[in-house]
Amino acid sequence: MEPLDDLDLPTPEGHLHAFMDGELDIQAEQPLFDELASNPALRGEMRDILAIRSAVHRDVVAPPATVEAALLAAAGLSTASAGAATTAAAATIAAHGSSSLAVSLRYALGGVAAGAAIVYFLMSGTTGDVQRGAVLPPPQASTGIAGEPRIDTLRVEVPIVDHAAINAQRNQLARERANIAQAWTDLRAAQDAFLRDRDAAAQESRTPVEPVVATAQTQMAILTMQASVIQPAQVTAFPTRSFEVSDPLPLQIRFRTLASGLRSDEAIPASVRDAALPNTALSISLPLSEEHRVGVEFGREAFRQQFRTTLNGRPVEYLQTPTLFWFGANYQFVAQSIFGLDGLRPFIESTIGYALEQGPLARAAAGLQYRPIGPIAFSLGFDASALTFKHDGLWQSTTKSGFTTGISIDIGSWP
Amino acid sequence: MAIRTMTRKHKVITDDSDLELYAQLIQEDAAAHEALTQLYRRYSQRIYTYCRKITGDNYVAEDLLQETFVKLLDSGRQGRVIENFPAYLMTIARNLCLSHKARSVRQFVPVEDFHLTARDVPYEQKELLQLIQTALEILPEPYREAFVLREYNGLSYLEIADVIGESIDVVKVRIFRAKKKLRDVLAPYLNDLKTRTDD
Repeated sequence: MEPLDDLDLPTPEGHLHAFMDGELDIQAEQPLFDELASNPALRGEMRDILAIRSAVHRDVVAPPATVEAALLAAAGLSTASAGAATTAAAATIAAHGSSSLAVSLRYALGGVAAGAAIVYFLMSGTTGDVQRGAVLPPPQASTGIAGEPRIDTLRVEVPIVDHAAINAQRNQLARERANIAQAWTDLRAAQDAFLRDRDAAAQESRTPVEPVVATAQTQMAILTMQASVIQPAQVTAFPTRSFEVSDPLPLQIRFRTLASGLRSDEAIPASVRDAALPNTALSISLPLSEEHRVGVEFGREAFRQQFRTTLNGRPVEYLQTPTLFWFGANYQFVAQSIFGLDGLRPFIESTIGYALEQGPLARAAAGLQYRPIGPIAFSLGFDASALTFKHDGLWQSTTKSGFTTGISIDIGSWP
Repeated sequence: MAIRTMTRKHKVITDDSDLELYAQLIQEDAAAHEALTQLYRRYSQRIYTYCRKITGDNYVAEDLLQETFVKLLDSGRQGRVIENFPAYLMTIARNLCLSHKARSVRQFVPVEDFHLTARDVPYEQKELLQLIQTALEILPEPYREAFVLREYNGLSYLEIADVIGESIDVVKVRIFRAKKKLRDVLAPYLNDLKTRTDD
């Protein structure tokens, strides 16, 4: 970042600063004192630095006492009985209908301690929402450390997002959406059948069909179907991909390993051994919906190329394993959770790209993705790829397959 | 709702060294509670000041302070061995500050968040503090961090080098340049202050 031309700071100024920081060698002190005695500018600098330092040292700021209490609570070291506190907190929260807080509480850092903090909060007589720095009446009983200042404010934080609950809700909504989509499809089919039958009957009998009745019947059928499958609250609860302008994009960044394509008894070629991060790929993707993502992927990968051609009229066989840089468009489909495990989801994906100085490349993979809690997910799958390349005007191709493992992280907002 | 008030009966451990206290974090809750409290009281001011100066937001600094000590407790419970406690704690705080800055969009901080909390400070000193705060904000981030670690946190060059993962020479240069820039920015005011004092 910075050129270190004044690295050793051999100037009187450098020595002065080092001396004032207690970092000057003792041998250099006397020359500095001599310089100070004869150099008013240096004395002025010393005075200025002392003034700044004096002001800085007066800028003493102790954190609010609430932080210590919140820390002990978050760390699970509150003096209140943890078990009783948690139970009481849960019961009280349920009684107040604060289910969302109760859900978040499960995954709060040191959930037991958060329960204790909430009990502390509730004991103080306030039943409203928990807010930062809310001013509370004095507690009924001291639960803090003996002798420490009374805690007049309490801030309860639930810093960890309840991803498991969000995933479960998403899955539920996705299932409901699928059901509604299916219902709409059935309804459309029934409507089409009805119209076909009506037209056929009119054609055969040449008797005009009362259009008002038919329309009314259709509308009634539609309304009946809607009433049976669509609950207004559910419809409005669909997660939509609408983002505020200020929201960061919901990007997913994934790093994955790719198959080497080499046999286990085969020596690793120098082109692979010397390459940085061979057989790896990095992708950045955006969600289209709950299951679909598109993005870009690029990687560095070794491809075994073995082909026969002629050289000066003589048949020759080439065998090489260049490590190529490639990039392309990536599509991922991640299905709903399976085996009743939230977070365990099968996936398929494909990438169409181009390997530099070689040719088009295509790959596809399928496997399982596991997202325990939080924005990080792990994947394991089977990957197959094909590369085409040109040699002496002739197109050649090579394929390989193997396991792929990946780790991804969601960043940005997810409304 | 049954709440019991626990009476502390364990020994007072205020004389233990940082590393002795850190080692007690792995013990049962009462001892860990006491050790964490002591460590917090020894270092919270430094960590809070650092977070406040780096993030420029008192509320965020409070959050990061709390998170720093939670992570410290986690490390202690996992039995992680450390050698330099202040540097280790400061490294945790620094990483949290960097993470926070990385994931947060730069926002305007309300003026009231920049209030100066020094008490019993003469008017001139308050004015100087405000100017220093402003000058710090225009310093390049690495210089500001080095200056804060040195002047506000009292870390040695070696400890700062440990915390920020740079050589001691880089630390030395950054602190030197930070002070030079601060002095350059504040020179007119310091001269004026000197004149007023002389008068």
